[in-house]
Amino acid sequence: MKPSYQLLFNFIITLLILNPSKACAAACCGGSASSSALITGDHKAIFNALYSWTDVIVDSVDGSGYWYTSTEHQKVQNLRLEASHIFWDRFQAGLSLPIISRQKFSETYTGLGDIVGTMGYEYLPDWDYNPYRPHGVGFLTLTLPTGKSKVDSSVGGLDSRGNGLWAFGVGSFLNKSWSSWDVVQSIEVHRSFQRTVTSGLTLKPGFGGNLMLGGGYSWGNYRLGSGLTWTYEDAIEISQGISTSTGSPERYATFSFMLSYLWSDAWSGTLSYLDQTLFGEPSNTSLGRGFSVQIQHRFSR
Amino acid sequence: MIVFFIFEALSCARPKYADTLSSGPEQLSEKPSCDAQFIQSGYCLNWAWIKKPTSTEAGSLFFKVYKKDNSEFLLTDFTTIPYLELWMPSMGHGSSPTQTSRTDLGTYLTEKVFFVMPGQWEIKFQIKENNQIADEAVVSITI
Repeated sequence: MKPSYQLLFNFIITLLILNPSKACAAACCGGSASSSALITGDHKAIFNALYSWTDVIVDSVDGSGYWYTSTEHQKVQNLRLEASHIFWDRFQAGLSLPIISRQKFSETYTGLGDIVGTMGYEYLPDWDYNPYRPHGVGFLTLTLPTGKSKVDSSVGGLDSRGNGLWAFGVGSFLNKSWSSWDVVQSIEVHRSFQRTVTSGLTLKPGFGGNLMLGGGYSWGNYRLGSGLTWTYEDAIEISQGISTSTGSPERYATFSFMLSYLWSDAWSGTLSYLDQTLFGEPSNTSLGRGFSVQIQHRFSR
Repeated sequence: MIVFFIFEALSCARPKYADTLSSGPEQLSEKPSCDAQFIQSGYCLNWAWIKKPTSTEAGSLFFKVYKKDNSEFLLTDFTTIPYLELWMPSMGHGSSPTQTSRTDLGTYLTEKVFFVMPGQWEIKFQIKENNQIADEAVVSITI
């Protein structure tokens, strides 16, 4: 492969994994589980710094599909630091550390979100640049309940920064590029575990998952891309004494449109627009619009 | 890519914006009735807004608890003052704490009733013993 094509190839596959919709979880409160950054190129390690800003323009969507809005919108800022490192041949380990800030009614709450650890394995390498076979990385995730749960909140979820639940997930990432065009697909399924929070409420969660499809076009050092991520979470049953709330399943879709620029083989940046009001049939959730800025540094083998 | 964009187009969201005026009675019915019933004791509850909450200001409400004796409704007290929990079942979270006081036999006033966002809510009238919910009556409203 010629050096310029090698650079373009690395550019595509490393930017494809910058799925900015991960930064835009259920907008109002809490957040869905996700993986940390994955190394899909020929690198030893990567480091991501991602900042996102979301305006929660739909406060709630009920189970019948009715959208409720108010004049006072919650604003969510998310700073996510991610790092991944190859530790043996095709195995990698990574960590994602989010800092979340919510603001409404001139009150602001900031703190650590749910930390996610990831173990990945490149199960479909692309050593021979096969024209049809995609490149694939499988991964396992472990979510730590370091973020405050929305059920533990006394301000209606405004100070929540995660699901506050242990969760174990499994997923796969596939990508393929032809000339200047590329497509990407990612799927992740997780199981959250029962927990009693500090307020005495017992949470019985279930399964959840994310499905992402995307694609893009690259020219020179630029790439224009688009992606859609569908998110689903089983209902969480919440009980205390004789009182039980069965909850309702949550679902929403996050559309992203992104422009990326490759400074060098080691540095790249992505500017994204995120919108949860355009696609899917959202239910039992809140919806936001926003943008994200991401810087990635890659370390060569 | 073409398949992807067709897939995106087919799954466009179709929003149905809801009327967000607060629901719920503005005055108590003249005759006692069972707006809601406590699960354990079977006591009946009537409630009404004194001041409806808005998106920026807390409201207040009062409620009466009755013991049903044959066809007669008798005002009655619990051994403890009920706690009023505001709960959004679809989103799985509550709102800010409320404050309830007894004003007369079986009659209570709850202040600081504030809903952090519009949507479908439950007002849970709860009796707590040893930090556990021992009895509860629930009414659903739209804010």
